[in-house]
Order: sequence, then C-alpha cells, then structure tokens
Amino acid sequence: VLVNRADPDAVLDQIETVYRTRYAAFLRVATAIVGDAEQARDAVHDGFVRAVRHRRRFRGESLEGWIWRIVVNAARRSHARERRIPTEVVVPHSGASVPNGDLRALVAALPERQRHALFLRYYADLDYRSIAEALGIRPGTVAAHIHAAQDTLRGQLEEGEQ
Amino acid sequence: VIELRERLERLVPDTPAEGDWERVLADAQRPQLRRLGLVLPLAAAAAAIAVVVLAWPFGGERPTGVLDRALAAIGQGPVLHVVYRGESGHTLVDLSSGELTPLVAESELWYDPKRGVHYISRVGSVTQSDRVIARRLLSAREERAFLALADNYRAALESGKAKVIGPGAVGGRPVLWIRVWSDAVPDVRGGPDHIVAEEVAIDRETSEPVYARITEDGRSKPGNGRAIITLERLSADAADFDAKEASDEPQKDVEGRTEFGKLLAPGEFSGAVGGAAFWLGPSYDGEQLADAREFTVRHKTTRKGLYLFYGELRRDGENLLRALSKPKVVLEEFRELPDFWISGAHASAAKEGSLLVTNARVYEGGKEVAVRTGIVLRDGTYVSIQGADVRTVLDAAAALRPSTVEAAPPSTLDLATIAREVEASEGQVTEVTGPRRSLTAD
Repeated sequence: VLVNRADPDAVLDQIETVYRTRYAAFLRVATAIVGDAEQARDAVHDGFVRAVRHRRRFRGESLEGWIWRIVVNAARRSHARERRIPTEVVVPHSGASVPNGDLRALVAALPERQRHALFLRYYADLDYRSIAEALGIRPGTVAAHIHAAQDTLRGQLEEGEQ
Repeated sequence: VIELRERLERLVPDTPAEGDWERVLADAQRPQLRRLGLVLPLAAAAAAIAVVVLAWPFGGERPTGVLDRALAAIGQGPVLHVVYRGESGHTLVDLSSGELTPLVAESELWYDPKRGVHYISRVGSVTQSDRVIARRLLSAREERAFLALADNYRAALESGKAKVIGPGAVGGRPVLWIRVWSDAVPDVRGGPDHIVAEEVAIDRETSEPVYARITEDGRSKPGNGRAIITLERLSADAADFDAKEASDEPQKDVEGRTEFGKLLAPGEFSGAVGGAAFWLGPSYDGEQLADAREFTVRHKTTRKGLYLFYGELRRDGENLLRALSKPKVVLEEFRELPDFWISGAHASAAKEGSLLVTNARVYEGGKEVAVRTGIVLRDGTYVSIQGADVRTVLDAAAALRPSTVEAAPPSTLDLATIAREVEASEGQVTEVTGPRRSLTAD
C-alpha cells in the first residue's frame, strides 16, 4: 500500500483499507501466535488501535508491513501476558492420536522467529520482503527461517509416521 | 510426502471474519492513560518522570519569583533523583482480624547520563526491584527517555511553554497547577475535540513539584496521578548507584515459561510444593477441582509448585480444555518465589496470615479482563489466588486450608464488608483539587 505519509488522514484511510480487506488474515496469524481466537481478536484490535494512534510516526515503505509488525508485537505481548493461562491441550486424553495436535506441538517448539515467519507465510500469504518488514529482519533471513522451520517440521512428521 | 501446507492450513483454519473498525477508531482516540501494571517498566518510569521535569513552569511571562525558587530547589547537579508514589496501591487484609493495611507502591531512581540508571521499586517497605543498568545497556528507547530528562529540562525552562493554570490543593497542601502541554485530539465521530493535558502541581510555599497527572477534557481518572516525593538534581558524588542487582551484561530477552506436569491427587500436593500445600476442598462454590497438577515457572530461576483449577472443563474436538473465559478460582502455590510470576506479582510484600490484594490487573485491547489476584503467605507457602473480583479472592483466602483437611471452618469475618472496603480504598490515595479550567489546547 503506497500512502502519502505526510497526510495523517490519508494514512488513516489506508489503515482502514488494510483493516477491512485483510482482517481475516491478521486474525488468523494472531490466532496462531496466541493460540486463542478471542485473545487474538483483542491483539488485532490492540494492534490497529496503536497503528491509528501512531500513524504520524509511520515512515516505512509499506504501510501493511508496518501494521503487521505492530499486530505481531501486540500478539506476542498478549501471549506473554497470558502465558499463565494455557489455551492449548491441558488434560491428557486417552483417545486416538491427533495428528494436528502433534503438529501443533511441533510448531510450538520452533524458535519464535521461525514460527512467526511460518505463520506470516502460510496464513497471510506474505512474500519474504513483507515478512522481513513485519519481523524487522532481512529478507534473506526470512528465507532461512522458513526453510529451517519447514525442514524441522517435515523431518519430525516423517519420523513420527514411520 | 508430508503435505505441510495442508496440515498447517488445518491447524488454524481460514475462516471469514470481520472486525469492528468503528471500535478501533473509538479506542484510538482515547488518551493513553497508562496504569501501573503488573511490573513498572523502566521506560515507563522514565516517561512518568519526564512529565514532571518537562512540566517545570519556567518562562518569561510567568511569576519568575516562584519559578526561580523552584529551579533553585532542585539544584544544578548532573544526576537526576526522583521518588514518586503511585495512587493505585495494594491492600493487606489480616485474615484473623479483618484489619486492612494499605501498601503504597513507590519508585525511586537516579539517572546519570554517564553511569546509567539505578531504579528501585517498593511496595510498602518491601523492595521489589533494585537494579543498576549501565548507560551502554539501556535500550535506545530508555536512553531517549532519560536523555530527554536531561536535555529538555533546560529547554522547557527557556521555552515558556508550560503554563500556570490556577490554584488547587494536593493532600490539603495549597498548590499551583501547571499545564505542561495539552493537545486537541479530534473526535473521530465528528464531535468536539477532546483536550488531553499533562499537569503538575507545585507547592505554593516551596515551589517544589508535588503531583503529576494526565487529564482528558479537564478530568483526571482516579488512580492515574503520581505523588512526587522528591525531584532534585544531585552531584555525581551524592548519587546512589549501589544496587542489589547490577546489569553488567546486556539484558537478554529471557522468556518466562510456565509448564504443567502430571496430574496430582490431594495426597501428593505437599510433595509438589515441597512443604505445606493448601486447597479449597474437592469442590468450592459449586465448582469441582477440575485440574490439579505440578506447575513449574521457568525464567532466570526455575520454581516448582502446584496448580489447582476450580471450574469447568470444556470439550474442543478431541481435547479437554479449561474453560478460562469464565474464570472461577485458580490457585498457584510455591515455597520459593519465582522471579517471573504474573499471578503472584508483588508476592514478596505478602505477610504470614494475611491476604495481599494486589492492584495487578490485566488489560487487553484497552479493556480490563475480569481477573483479580491476591497472595496468601501461610506456613511459608505463597498461594496466589485468582478470581473474578475482590470478594471472590477474599472468600477463597478465608476458605483456604491444608490439603489434608477436607472441610473448612466458617469464617468469622464479615467478608462482604471487607471486600467493599478494599475496593473503596483503591484508586485514589491523595486528595486532589483544582484548578478551575478553561478547556482549550495550547
């Protein structure tokens, strides 16, 4: 999204456009980070409130990348605050194996950067450059994180299925 | 072949969702009135003090006699020394007599542009944090905040942007209110602008600053102000840079983690805690003890304890989850305090036989999450109690008994009255009045 950064009203309009067109993707990534849909909604809301409030500070090239960064940080903060309230599986269940439960645990065990890069790639369809902007890292590092995460997950899933 | 994308897609399904843009706009226009949260971050402390320093009411058109004396009162040294007290404190409730003791949260810091920051926080007389952070280890944000104290102070004296807006009183002391800055915040729905301002009260006799607050449309929310105990500039020799904990290494972002271990029977509770363990019986207030497990908090230290959940479990597909959206009562117990214990924040101020009702509240998206916490210290075990409100926490504290005891004797205290008194004591300690206002932005 290209915006006239000198005009806060224009930036506000663009933030609204991003919100209305990409809300589901923001919510999906935030849900992946915090593990709870309700908490994720609050994190996305909190992120956009911050974006609107601080829109005069936007100096980047990509407004959407800037917003992604704010929302990801809001979700991380929310997750850290609420870590005492586990939302993952907590009661042992003696039923059949749950493949995606295994995957959830494997994803949760990835380093945070790898995890977030993976979420942004798969759940928001962001390209490496946008992910780099959202996470504040270089595009080359994004590629390395995603490949490492994919290799880890594939390897462990294959191992588990043998 | 592992179809990773497909599996990840199933993990967090892509479902249509619409947000609430109007609510985003409405919340964004509210001023950022930060409350002291679970932990007062250093940068927030710096920002709070920046309010005080920038507020200093020097300017050519105002009564320079007062302002000259004020400048003289804080000295000319290179080190800034500030002590301030939050309005929103904590309350100790004696579980035998019901007596209430308010505990004030106080912060003290020294900032030396050459050495860094020495920051101390206390609740009551108990030190919660005492750290020196070398200047080279301050984050850019913290550094900017502290540098602002040093650099902008004299600029504020010279610019004359601060305005005397009228008389008032703080804790019965006559004061003059100074407007540091004000800003007209547009109403996104097209209504009149909102005036947000930061104000400082100075003692009319000594010209020392005694209070700082943020107002919106001329009103200050209870509990948002800070009483200034000391604001002075010291010589480098007079500054205190001895702390319990010195940060000689860059601060690492150490993530706190909580881990849940195996399910426990009541007979195993004491073993998990490593000493006296407490519970509310097999059921409490209509809720079953639905989950009881080993509980570990890892941060810089690792502490093992006990977690008890009284409430409902809900089914989510193949799994059972704790229904935390409707929190009932949760207990967490440790013999040694974890250094990262959110629900047990300020536990070091707890006293044997008392309940410490903390002001720690959780805010999400600008709204308060309905969880209150209290800490009981009993027979050397710290028990954090989480419930929906003060009454729930107080009732649970009174009903707490050793895990070997099935039924609790009824409390002899009037818990409803005590809970109301605790709530009434929260929010505003200092009586603050004035000034009469004209609501215009600078």
